[in-house]
Amino acid sequence: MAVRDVLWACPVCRTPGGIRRGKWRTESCQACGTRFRRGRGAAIVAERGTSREERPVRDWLDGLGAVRLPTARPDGTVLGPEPVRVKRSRAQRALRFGSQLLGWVELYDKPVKGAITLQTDRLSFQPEAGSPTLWPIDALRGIQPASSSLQLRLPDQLVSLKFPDGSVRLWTRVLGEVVQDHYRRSGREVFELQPCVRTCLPSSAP
Amino acid sequence: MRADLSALERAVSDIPAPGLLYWTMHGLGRWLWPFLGGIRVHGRHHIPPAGPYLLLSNHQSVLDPFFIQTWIPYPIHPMAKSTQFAGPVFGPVMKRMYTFPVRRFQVDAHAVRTTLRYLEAGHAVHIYVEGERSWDGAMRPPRPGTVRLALKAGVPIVPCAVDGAYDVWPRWDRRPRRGPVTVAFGAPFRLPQIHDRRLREEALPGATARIMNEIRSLLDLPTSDPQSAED
Repeated sequence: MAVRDVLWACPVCRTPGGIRRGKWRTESCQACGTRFRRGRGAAIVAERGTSREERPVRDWLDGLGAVRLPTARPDGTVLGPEPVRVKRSRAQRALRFGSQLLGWVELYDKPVKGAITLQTDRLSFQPEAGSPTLWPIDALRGIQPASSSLQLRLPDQLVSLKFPDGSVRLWTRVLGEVVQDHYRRSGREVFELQPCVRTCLPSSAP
Repeated sequence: MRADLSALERAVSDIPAPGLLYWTMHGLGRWLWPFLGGIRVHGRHHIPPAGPYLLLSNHQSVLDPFFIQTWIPYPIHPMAKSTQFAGPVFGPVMKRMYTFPVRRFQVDAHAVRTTLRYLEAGHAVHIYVEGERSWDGAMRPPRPGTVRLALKAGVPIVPCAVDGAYDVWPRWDRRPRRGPVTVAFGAPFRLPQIHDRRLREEALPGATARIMNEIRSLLDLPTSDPQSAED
């Protein structure tokens, strides 16, 4: 939960993912040096040198409409490597209140620190210790951003990616684009990303 | 079917009665927030004296349950994402606030059944129609699953709007601040009860627009288009 989660690109210099966490939880753009913090109410203040600009979040976001998302580099990497904490859920437990079954709750493993890289055909997670894990793009069944984590549904598990320094919304956007491009290459269109990835033939798009 | 329904009603009647924790949390919005920024409420007379009904509202802040439910003089069952029940402290509190879980990434058939079960037993259910808190304070269109559920249930719908809660605690910040909050309840309205899945899908766009307009118009909330809501 941070300014960089909502402002996925720097609204001043338009660098995607430019806003990063600094010391003492301050946030500033690594490209232009503008510092960001919460202002009055839920407004965001941008400060650079002696200049100061305070605007509602909606106004800052409007300015991000024309920002170009990162594209694939020659080695196929689109985004990353980015520090991440990964939690996985492969089981659920019943939730009861009195004698009533209220529903089911996912059980997550302990978080594992590492780095994640998004490539055109897969997500690669390299833990600090151990061998890497690959999640192919076409194995993603759903994408859902939470306030500070990105949750992915795979056939046999849920994966929660928490970015300590990066922007969850940038990752959501770029991953969405990569999924779209991936299916487009195989002649299909994605017509829904959240909560489930649903594709169709271009001629039968709803 | 009758036997099934009896079993469901029996299960619902087994829910423990509200305790001290419930009434303490229930009163926070009404009794505490006047000292922390003020809370105004409109349209309390629209709150039905009892269920069944669906309370559909926008979602600006994690504090919305306190701001909304404090005005409803009996327990109402809010739907919340299942991961919120995972914690050792928050999970039990959520249960005692009569919240029930819905799993994301799927059509959670159990959450749908639980909702219908509560409604059939004469209770009220609260759903945040956008499915998550707003990133920028603007209201987003209702999730299709919520609208489908409303069409399937066919019970009265009480629209509810919250404003100011985003400025108190936006989802991208770690801490709340003091600030005025306004809550408005609208006149109950009904959508047709549609059992046929195909007909329900046909009615979806109209019902979505109706729900969105009923909530938005209560406090003239800003809205965001579905495209910008994608992320």
